[in-house]
Amino acid sequence: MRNLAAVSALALLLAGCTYVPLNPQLQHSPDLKTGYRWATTTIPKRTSNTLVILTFSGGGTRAAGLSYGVLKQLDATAMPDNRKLLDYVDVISSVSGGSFASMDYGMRGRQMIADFESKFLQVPVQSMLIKAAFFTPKNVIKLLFDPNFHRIDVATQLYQDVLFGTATFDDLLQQQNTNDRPLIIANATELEIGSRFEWTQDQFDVICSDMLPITVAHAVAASSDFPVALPPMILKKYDASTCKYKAPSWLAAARDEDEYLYPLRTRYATELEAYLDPQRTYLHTLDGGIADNIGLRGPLHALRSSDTFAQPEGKLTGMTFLPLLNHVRDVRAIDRVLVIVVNAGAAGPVSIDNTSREPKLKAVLGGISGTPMDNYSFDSIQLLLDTVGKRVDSGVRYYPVVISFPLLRDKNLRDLVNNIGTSFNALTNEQLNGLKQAADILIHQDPCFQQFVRDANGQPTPPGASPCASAPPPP
Amino acid sequence: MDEWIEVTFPEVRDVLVDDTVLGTTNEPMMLERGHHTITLGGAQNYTSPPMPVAIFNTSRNQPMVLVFTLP
Repeated sequence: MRNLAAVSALALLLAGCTYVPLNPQLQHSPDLKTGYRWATTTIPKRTSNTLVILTFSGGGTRAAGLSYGVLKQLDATAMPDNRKLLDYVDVISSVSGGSFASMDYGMRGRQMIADFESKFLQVPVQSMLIKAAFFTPKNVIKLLFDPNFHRIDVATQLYQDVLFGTATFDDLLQQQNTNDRPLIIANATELEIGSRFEWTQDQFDVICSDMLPITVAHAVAASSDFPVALPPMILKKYDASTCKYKAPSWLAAARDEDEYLYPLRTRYATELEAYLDPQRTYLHTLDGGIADNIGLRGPLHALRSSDTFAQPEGKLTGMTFLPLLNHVRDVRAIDRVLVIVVNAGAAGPVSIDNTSREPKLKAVLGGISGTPMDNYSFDSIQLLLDTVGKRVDSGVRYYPVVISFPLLRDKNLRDLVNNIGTSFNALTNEQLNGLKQAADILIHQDPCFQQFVRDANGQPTPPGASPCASAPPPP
Repeated sequence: MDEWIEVTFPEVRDVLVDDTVLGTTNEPMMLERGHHTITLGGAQNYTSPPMPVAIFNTSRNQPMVLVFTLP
């Protein structure tokens, strides 16, 4: 009876809770010298003429494990200055499961390479989440009676407990600046706009919000917020006038004049306008895989366009690589671009087409949601290859590397990794070793990766070497 | 989609595309297809006003040439 009274009292207390946004309002005008963004990192100031971009796809612990395997391979790849290729990574753009690996690397650097297996990949996160959401009384009561507490908050707390602690984007920025780590871009999807929502201050400026006090676990939770199983993460959208956000000057022309000349640019403009719509007072973000399941679209846009959500301040800009590729004066000059796309998309065994029976609802829903994502991922990679393939005479050499299970020639290994489900279950030793082996094989068999390593180390191309299709022919 | 322009001017200046410094005068520079406004950095002592242009169907070998002149 006493317990019931306590619960009732707690319920009444929680029911009276007022809404407190997880994202605070920006207290000053957008400033490219502050916040977690391209312009405040050490990346644009680096002296290396090699730009290294990684993208990590979604796919639960399968994606996290493959991404981790690639990071390990980069850490084992020597560069001529006695550093490792891992030290050259400038940007990691990630989605869902891949965001666990990228964010943990951004926070802890090589320590992550040392213990990510035991801290995350072999931890039964999914069952811990179910237990926390449905069988932990404290959370069950809060979920029942607190309108501001949702299952996604349980997930965020769990990710804090397991991996990220209460580290914030302010901490991530300090880690980046102090240790010259990559810019980590965790991507989510804005549900109603249907666009990519990236966890950088360039994006948060548009909603007049300050992301520095927010924990990185929130970004990873949003990036991996699997629809239906978890509700959207809700962000407060403060009106653009509250921080005097000034729309960049490209917006009007791209919106009003380019719809027939170059619709891709107009689409980007309409996305920015949608974020600025004063009727939109909240954002509902879900798994980044809905908008782009391989995390490639942001870096690809930066390779192709100077349009960003940020208003340039002198030579400070939002994330665009064009000034670097064009060798703008007093800006880092890039002569080589290595893009490694880590795609953990899996083709499971035949499970519908081996019978005439009506497929189960789960299988149908899986096909409906997965097919557009897979097709879009393929198109994104093709767009990357087409883009760099047309730049053979640009003066910059490109090395697009694709890490993808269908490229595995060993059927047993291919079947092993393909059959790792999309979940946050702990990987078995066999699965973990398979993913590490797949990363090793896939990166080293890629002709563009081989060519990059040779070029970086000044080694000649041996006769009969597979050509990197986007690289110019040897002189 | 990549396009190319070259801004000619008697002095070495930064070239701004929609307020972003994207290149240097008298050198070909890559930018995205579409409508853009081209200006020069540094002292505004040139006669050409900000130049709105539609850029398409160019290449590195055949860039759109934009001429800015001193007064």
